[in-house]
Amino acid sequence: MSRTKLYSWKLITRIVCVLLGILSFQPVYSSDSVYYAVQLAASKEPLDIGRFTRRYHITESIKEIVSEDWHRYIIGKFENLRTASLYASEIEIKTGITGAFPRKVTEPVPQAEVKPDTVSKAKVQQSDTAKIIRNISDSIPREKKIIAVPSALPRSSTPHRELNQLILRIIGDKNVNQTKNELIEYGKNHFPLAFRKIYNNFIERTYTYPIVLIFIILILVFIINLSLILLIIYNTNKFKNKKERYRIFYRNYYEEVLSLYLFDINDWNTTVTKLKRLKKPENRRILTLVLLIFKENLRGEMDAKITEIFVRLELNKDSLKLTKSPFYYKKAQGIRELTNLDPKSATNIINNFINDKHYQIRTEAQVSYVRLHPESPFDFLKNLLSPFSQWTQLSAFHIFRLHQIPVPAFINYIDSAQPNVRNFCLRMIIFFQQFEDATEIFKMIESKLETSRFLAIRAINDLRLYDGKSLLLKIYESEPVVNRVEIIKALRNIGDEEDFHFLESVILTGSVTMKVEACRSLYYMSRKGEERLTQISQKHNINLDLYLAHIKDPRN
Amino acid sequence: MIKQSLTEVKLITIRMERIIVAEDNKLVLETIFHSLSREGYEIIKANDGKECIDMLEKTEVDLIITDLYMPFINGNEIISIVRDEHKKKTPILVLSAAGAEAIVLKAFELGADDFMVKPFSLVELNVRVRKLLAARK
Repeated sequence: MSRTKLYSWKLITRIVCVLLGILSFQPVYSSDSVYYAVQLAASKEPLDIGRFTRRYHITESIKEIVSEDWHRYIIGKFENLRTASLYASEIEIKTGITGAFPRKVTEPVPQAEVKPDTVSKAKVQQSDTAKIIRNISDSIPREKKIIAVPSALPRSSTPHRELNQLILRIIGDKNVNQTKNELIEYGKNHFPLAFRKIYNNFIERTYTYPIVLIFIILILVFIINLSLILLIIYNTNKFKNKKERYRIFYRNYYEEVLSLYLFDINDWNTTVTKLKRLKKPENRRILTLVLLIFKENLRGEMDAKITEIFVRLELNKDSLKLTKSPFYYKKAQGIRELTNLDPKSATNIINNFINDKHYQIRTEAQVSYVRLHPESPFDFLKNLLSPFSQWTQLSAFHIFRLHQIPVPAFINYIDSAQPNVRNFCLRMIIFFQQFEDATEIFKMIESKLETSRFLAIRAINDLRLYDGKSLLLKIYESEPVVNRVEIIKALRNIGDEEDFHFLESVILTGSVTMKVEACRSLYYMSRKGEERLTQISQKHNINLDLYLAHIKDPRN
Repeated sequence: MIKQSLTEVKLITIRMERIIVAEDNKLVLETIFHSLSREGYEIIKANDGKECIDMLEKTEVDLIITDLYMPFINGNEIISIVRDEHKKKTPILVLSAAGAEAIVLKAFELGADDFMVKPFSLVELNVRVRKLLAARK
């Protein structure tokens, strides 16, 4: 293998090792050389030596000792402490530096005199005295100031530096250093002193690990992340599909087995034998689902048989357990299953959930109540402590219609403490045309709620409660526009000639919507009303043709 | 001998009344199949509207029972195809979970003979089927 090839191979190996963080190469030192020097300064952060030497007019070479997170800067090399001490005093006088002192320096001598590449190949020797010492030459211009390494030491003493050098070799160290210096210079000119230190530190760190290296690491992290995500998605999908296939298989299988039992082709014992994996909770859920589908599609003579299967397989116990679950959706699921498949058990527990804290459990229980109590489906409204939401109203109404439950007298619940129960009752009274107890509807005209009053006006109109007309005219002035329009509309059905004057005033003073409705009421109330419209038009010289065209149009 | 063979020939020519059931819900399809088979009808199962139309082109049936919402071709389209394209007067019974007035009316306008809302009773289904077949005769 050629020398260049070997060198390249070594570099690649090192890069891999550094990236994996499993090796750290350091030079091997055979023995230590001891001498004395004068320490000029020490700092946790590396000093700008160029600036330092210029400030104190130091011409000699300064060495940097890096140990225990400290950067110590020494000068000179003396055989004994005394000469070093004398030199320290001399330096203090000459440069004005205070606090320079002599110190013993243990400088490791690298093994192998010795080419740098053979040193870097060597193994790490752990030594307490091992320190990285660098000569700092001030003779180098500031822009090109590079830490000068003694010739006996390898150029790259740590793996990351080796990698840096490789990257610098690729992208060109001149460019990198130039950019770094330019950035520092920029910071000096543009940033305040307080921020400059952080900025310089950031630039130093960034260029210690060149940006390309960071990019490579980021790309690797990204690739690893992406691979992990894809792997997770793939496995999750695989697992879900497997689970879904399992469910579909057993659903079809159970449907087939249960169908045979429902049509008396198989007896109970054969059916139970054929229902495999009955003890597995997952399979019991599937079985309950199959029974629910049966129930959703079939009624009549099959009802009792479906419930029988549910109870005999003790699936009702599972559903009862669900109603005791701390999770709201499980509770709701349990209530639904029991309501559909075991109404008797459901009736015993349903009252506990009517005023539940959780909205969805409450809704499920209230809808179930309607289903379970066909003789008085809305009796729970009497004890309702929380609002009867519109969604619950719709669901309850749907169940009520779907199962053809006898219609109760909604007037019984109209004095509920819950305003939306009262509104619901008014809507139901209008829908089912229950005008037996009109006085209760008239009471609602005095309600504080605008919607309740609106519904009461509509009820008076739709149920043709003529006695309510005077009440409507009495409250007209104090009502909002929506309710006023509703009163005008009501007059079409419950009004008479006495109201012509009122409607005329609306046509003359009201808004466009009010005018349209007043015209409509007059026009459709009677022949006399129609004539009155012509009179108003002539008397007040207003053109009502457009209004009349609009109300006569069947699309409106 | 001759008399006996004549009786046999007569028996062969009496065919069972054939009903096609188009329903995408397998459970409902199987249930109807079991229920009507026990009543002595020959049942053809179709899992969607397209399958139903294909079968109708190949086979003569006495009654069509169809769901309203199915993949490819829905119940209303089946009714239209049978009445307008095939020009057949085969009775059609529509089954649907949607019992809204507009939906029921539309099915009748297109040419359906009967409508049942799910959940339905199998006894009721059998009675309606029997009535529709009797009316056809």
